Amino acid sequence: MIFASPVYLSLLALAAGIILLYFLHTRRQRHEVSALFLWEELPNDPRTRAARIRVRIDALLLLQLLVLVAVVLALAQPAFLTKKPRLAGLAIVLDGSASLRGRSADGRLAADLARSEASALLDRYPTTPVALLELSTSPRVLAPVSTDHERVRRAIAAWEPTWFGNGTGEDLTGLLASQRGTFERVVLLTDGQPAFSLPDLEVVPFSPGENLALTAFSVREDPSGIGSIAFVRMRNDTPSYREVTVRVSDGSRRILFPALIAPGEEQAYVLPFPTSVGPVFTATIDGADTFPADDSRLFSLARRTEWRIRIVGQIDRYLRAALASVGAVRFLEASDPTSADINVAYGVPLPAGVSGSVLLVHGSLPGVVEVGEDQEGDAGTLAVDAPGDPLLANVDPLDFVVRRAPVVRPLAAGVTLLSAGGEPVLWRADLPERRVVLLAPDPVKTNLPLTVDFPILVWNILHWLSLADPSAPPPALVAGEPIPFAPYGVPERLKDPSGHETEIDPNSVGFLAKAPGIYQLTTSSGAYAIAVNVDWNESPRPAGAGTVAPPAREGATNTLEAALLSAWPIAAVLALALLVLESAIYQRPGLPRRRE
Amino acid sequence: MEPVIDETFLARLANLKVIVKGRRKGRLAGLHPSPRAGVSVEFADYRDYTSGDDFRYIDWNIYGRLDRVLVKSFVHEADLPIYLLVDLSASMRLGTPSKARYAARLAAALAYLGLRGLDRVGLYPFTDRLLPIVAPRHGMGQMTHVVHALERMPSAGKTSIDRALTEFVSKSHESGLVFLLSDFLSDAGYEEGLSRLLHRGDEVVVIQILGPEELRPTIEGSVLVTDVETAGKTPMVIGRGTLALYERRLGAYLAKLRAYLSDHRVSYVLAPTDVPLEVLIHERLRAGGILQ
Repeated sequence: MIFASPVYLSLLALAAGIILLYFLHTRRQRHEVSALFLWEELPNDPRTRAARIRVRIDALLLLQLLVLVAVVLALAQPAFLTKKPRLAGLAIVLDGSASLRGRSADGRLAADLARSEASALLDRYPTTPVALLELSTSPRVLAPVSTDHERVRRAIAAWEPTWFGNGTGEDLTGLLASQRGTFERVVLLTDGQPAFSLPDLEVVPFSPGENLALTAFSVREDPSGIGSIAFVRMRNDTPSYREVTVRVSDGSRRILFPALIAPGEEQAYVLPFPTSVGPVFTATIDGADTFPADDSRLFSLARRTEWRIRIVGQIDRYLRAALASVGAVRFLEASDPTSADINVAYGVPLPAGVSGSVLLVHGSLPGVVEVGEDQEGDAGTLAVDAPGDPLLANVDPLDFVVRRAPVVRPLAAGVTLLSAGGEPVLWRADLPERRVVLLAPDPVKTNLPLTVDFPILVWNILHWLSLADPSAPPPALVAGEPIPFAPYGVPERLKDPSGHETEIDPNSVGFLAKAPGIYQLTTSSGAYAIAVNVDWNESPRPAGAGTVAPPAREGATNTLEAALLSAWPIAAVLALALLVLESAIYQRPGLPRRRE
Repeated sequence: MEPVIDETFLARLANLKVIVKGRRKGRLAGLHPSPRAGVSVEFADYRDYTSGDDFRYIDWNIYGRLDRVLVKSFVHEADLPIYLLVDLSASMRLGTPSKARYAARLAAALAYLGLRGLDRVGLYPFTDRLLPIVAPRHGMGQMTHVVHALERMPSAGKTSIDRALTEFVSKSHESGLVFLLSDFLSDAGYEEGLSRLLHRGDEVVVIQILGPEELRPTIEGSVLVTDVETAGKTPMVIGRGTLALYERRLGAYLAKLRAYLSDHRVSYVLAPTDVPLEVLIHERLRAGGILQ
């Protein structure tokens, strides 16, 4: 044992003072009497409580001396020389993927297990240069290679797993290469076997606990144009049959059903949402497990969360009401420079320079279609020219009555859906730059606004028009991967799942979703909800064969090196404890006080 | 510190007086009956007329019926010297209140009762010898001298009751009522001194003043027992067993003292200092036939 401040050992001389004070104190325990002859030769009483008290007083002296010794030792800062193995370099790689947020088979957080293992490695190699690395889809260096283990320990204590996916072998190789020096041991602390292998990589896996997972969830527009179709898949990573309740919701409608899943098996379901309007879908399964993050999945369709509709020309209240029933609608003035998602021209030609899809109501679009004067006489019976077209989904055209139909001259290739007297009544064109729908007659000269199917027809028209986006956004997004802005337009603002909203540089190409949830993105072409999930591969699976941790080994060139183990905190704690004990004994009732 | 005596305390002594068991001659007129015939109103006896007797005391009714000339005699009431012997040795300063203080207040009360009974009261403090005294005198003016002396009495020195009483007998020539106030905790002896007093004819009242810590000590542990008078020391580990032996030894000592005093017809009263002085005076001294 050596002392960092041996000069403080001289304070041990204070023990003489304590002993002197003790004996002085003892001498003052006098009892004056009137006549000594009554006391003389009385036998002592060693078996009585008084004798025990005397022993207690002696114990107090001993405790006081021990307190002094402990305090002096703490001040002198003792240290022990120990022999510890030393490596040329040690890389501790923490699996930073989302699965580390789960619990292991013994109920402990996988992240805590990783911290414990990392600390144990530091204890084992107190003098070895250590680098602390985090491996995920966004790998990073938590503590650069250094012999300052306190810094590494602080980094371990502050470390939290990300919501990202697993890193790759290339990620790890790059991390190691970023650190100077060589690593004799590279230890990966993870909750499963990595999908890659590197020479000399030691894997310390933690057995994950039982888990029920939603392993897939996606939604697509019904190709027939009638709502959406959801696809959900579950896996049972427990040793027993599990019955779970599955809930899939589009925000307005929820489908709930039970499912019995065999151990180790997967089950998939396809669920129709024929009238879904919202862009965000949620799937959840109940039941407690060790990784709650995969019990709920999100999906967002490339639907606008807000419709910006510009009406040019007349404003018919029935038409406006039908448009407003589509969802969250913001009507733009004709003079508003903001770009609209849908343009509606009612009774007038669409002005030149207006971009975007168009609904023409008794109006023309130069170069695409021209609408002339109403024909004389009754338009006659309405004919369905394209039954089964998405625009006519859930609509019964035979309820429509058109009294006056205008003369329509299509100039571009299109499809006539309804006609009356040989003139198109409902016509659509899918042009390269936009989609156009024409409702030729003036609605006030039809019974359309008064029919039940009119809002459905308008809803079909708007959804068909809105699908004219040039490119579809990525269908399934996961945390940790960059999400491009391009499919949504020029970015303006982004609100993350916690509600924090930031302005986006229009030149930005994408963002990194750090956590799962719904991100609200506002672009030049509208507002979108972007669902981000935990990586599908992060759901923990039971450890299979070959995932047993290899025994911790000493480096081939391990050398033993003297290490100083500081012991002053022990001495300080001991001094405090002894002081408290001494005080407690002194304060106990029954201890004789000095008698004057 | 509480005064030795105050008006309230004195007022509570108004109905008390000192009792003297025998008849004493006295020197001056007082309230105590004297063996001599006197001129008081209290009839004492008849005797035959002798030449020179005052005609006024002849009982003519007896002469008429019995034809004998008898002369009535009356009780002579004389005064009494009261000696207050107060132990002022170092052991008397122990206790709370100290035994010396308790003794001083008791002595003041007895002095007041004596002076109010037209007796002469003197104060004789002592240790192992007699200290400066307040000689016996009549009248309430003497009270001032006694109280003044009691207020200034320091407690110091050893106790020797034998030597002090011997010196007292040699200095006081008239027997009287002696109040001996002491803790009697001395192995120097008291028998010789008391014998001298009794031989001279003094009526002695012993009031032994002890503190509660002396009667029922509670000290425990490892202590150094120190005699305040001799400075003698003895280290002891005291427990309940030790205290029981002490109390047994003290009881034997007190029993021996009481037996000696009883054999010599000396009144004895134990005065623990935790007993209020009024209780001592009104109950214990009255029960002991010392006050009435």
